Amino acid sequence: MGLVTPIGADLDTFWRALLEGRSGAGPVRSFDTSSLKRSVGCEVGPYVLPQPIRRHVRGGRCTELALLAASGAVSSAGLDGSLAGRADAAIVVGTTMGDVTQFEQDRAAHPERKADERDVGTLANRPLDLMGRCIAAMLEVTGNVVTVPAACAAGSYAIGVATSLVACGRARVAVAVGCEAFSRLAFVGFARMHAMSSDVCRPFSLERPGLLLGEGAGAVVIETLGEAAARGAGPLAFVDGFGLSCDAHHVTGPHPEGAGAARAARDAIRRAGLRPDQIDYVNAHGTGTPLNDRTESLAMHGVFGEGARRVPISSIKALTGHMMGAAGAVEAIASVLAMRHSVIPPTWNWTGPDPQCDVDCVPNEPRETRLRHVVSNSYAFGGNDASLVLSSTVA
Amino acid sequence: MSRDWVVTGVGMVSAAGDTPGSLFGALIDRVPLLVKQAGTSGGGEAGPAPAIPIRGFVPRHYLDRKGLGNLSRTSQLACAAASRLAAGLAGVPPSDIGVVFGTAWGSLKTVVDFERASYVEGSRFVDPFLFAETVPNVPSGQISIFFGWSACNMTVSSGSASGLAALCTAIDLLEEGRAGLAVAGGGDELNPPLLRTLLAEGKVGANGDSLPFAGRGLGPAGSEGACLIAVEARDQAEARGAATIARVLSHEQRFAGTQGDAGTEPAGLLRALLDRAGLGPRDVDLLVVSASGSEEVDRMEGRALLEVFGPGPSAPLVVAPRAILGETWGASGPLAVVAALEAFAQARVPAPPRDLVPDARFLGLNLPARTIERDVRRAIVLDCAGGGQMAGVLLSRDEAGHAA
Repeated sequence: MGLVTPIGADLDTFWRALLEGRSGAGPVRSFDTSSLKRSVGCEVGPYVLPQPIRRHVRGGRCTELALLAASGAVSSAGLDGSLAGRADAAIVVGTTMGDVTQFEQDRAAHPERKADERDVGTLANRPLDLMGRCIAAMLEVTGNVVTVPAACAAGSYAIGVATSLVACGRARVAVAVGCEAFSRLAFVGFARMHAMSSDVCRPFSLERPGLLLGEGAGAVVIETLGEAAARGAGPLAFVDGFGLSCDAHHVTGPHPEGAGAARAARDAIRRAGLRPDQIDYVNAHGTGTPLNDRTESLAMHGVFGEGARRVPISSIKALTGHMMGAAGAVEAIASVLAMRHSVIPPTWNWTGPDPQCDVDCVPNEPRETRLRHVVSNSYAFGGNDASLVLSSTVA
Repeated sequence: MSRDWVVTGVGMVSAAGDTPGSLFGALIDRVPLLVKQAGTSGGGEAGPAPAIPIRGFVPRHYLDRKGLGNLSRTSQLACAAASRLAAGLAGVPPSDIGVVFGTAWGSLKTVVDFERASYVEGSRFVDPFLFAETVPNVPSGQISIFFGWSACNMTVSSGSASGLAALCTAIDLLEEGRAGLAVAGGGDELNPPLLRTLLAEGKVGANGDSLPFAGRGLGPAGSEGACLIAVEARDQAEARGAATIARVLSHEQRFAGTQGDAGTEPAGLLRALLDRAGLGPRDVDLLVVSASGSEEVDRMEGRALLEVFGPGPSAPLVVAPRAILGETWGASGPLAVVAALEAFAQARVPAPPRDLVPDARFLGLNLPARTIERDVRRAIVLDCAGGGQMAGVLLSRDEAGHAA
């Protein structure tokens, strides 16, 4: 696993931040917010690109973050240099907007200029599949390169698709990456939808002002247990289930009863060969918007029934912000770390219960408990719903 | 593949019309669809650039819904294409239908328009609908919303191979039991700023002379469209009385790399398609390929075709639809599938443009000099994008009761 987040660019720093409640929120540095009603976001701190990575960056910040995370994941898997030339290795990348930073910087320099080919050209030179191609070039992989721009569920889609490619034998190893750079476009868009907090993100609280925008990248290496064992590697977790559904309801708003979200989670649990009462923890999409947290709570009640209050459901977005295309991948990594440390990262900034979010959201204190099976949820524009079931390697 | 996957429907919107017959007719007739695109320059003597837009496209002709005007053109094209096959899906519960949509660009114009509006009009006044339409998976989501298809929804982006990659992904999803029927394909819009950009970078041709395998590096004309294919298991299709148009025998995606990168040639993909279907090169009658006059793609593709299928008249016939249809990015692969389906149905294979003289490197390819009447039973559709993405499917004419 590898990641770059607003609260840490290595697994240990990231995990400690989740337990200590260190937030990545601060005044936005990526662009001028003086004319905007919001000015707080969760950005990745300064980073250095090693030369072997830098020479493969053909885009901007999103590509850089993706390459850093992918490189970290491959190193931590002990696969440095060993994917070169492999047609049985796949790259799967999830993103929301792709690499729009350069376009935004150019546009900021000439805000009133009529849109023309310079703008479109900057975007067209950084197409959605650029990150995957750059990662493939960096790792010298010759297998399948898949880009799934599934908006805010893209990171989970990437892990799910990568797992499917390995499970069906189309790849023997896959690197799944979710990535997103901090974007003015998304910042303005979410603010215009009245979905963004002015200061703090408080998932599942009665008084929750909305999401904070974030950025980052998360990457995981997926292979079969046999493949890992053959090269002497030990698994960090099992991807036991990947559930998909679509709300088919509204382009930006969730289904009012969380129907699609519930279907995705049920599907993931069923594919894992489990019953809902065997799930020990849910890492929520938990954006902190009034609508998302309410419908996600309803959806989880639909999945767990009377046992819904028994299943801890927490969101790390209070600290990381909503990393959009990266969120699902980073939250899957948080779920794996939770299982490995037997600790649930809490929902920080929680200020009081919302009767419409009748869940145990693990408020403000890490909780030690044995975790065998975890569900990680991700939802997105277009009604895209995805859930992963991750299982511990400890029986 | 674990089950017998069959094509049971096609929905499309293209510059060559919105029916498979009209598309195939354009390929047979070899009638140029080019127009001078207003709002551009860079064409002959710096006049308007040649392009193949869909003229007179009116979303309301396809969909009687409010709010169509709020959609990006890519979303409009996607939903219009879906409307063309929706009626044929009767008997399949909407909750059992999944959507996989391939797009190279999403809607770049919407991204630019939104960003500019946020500066010029102020961030508080930008249209939130416009924001939603900047997100690349929204065209696919709009299809699900319009038609209630909720089994799963996925967007795939693989450059100009996006649509065929989406079809491959959809079959994987069907094999995993994530939907009972997949509506899969893709689409992209054309607009003057995108056309100007691609012209300037040589990614589309400035003269409109798209001559595949001519070795002149002219490139395809820019176009637009959307095309969706319905795929489901044969037993389900038969149970609901749907006509089965073709079988999908195998599918494959690979990465060819770009210049200087690691990568494999499309030959590996072609061999994998044949191996997975248990067939040999001589079992294939038709190759519908992505060659368009682009030096990079034509060279890569032409070399692979000769390597796998050999030269001369005993090799499968080669059709390159982009020569007539232009580059429609997300729609290109699915439109090539439609060309193959029509070749099955009409037992005809269209010839390339009249003035094509293949480059010496590609003389061994079996490009028909004129329309050929031939029984076509199996076809490979191959899509190689300039960025190195590759996808392919091996189709057979549906002959229930006969071995493929």
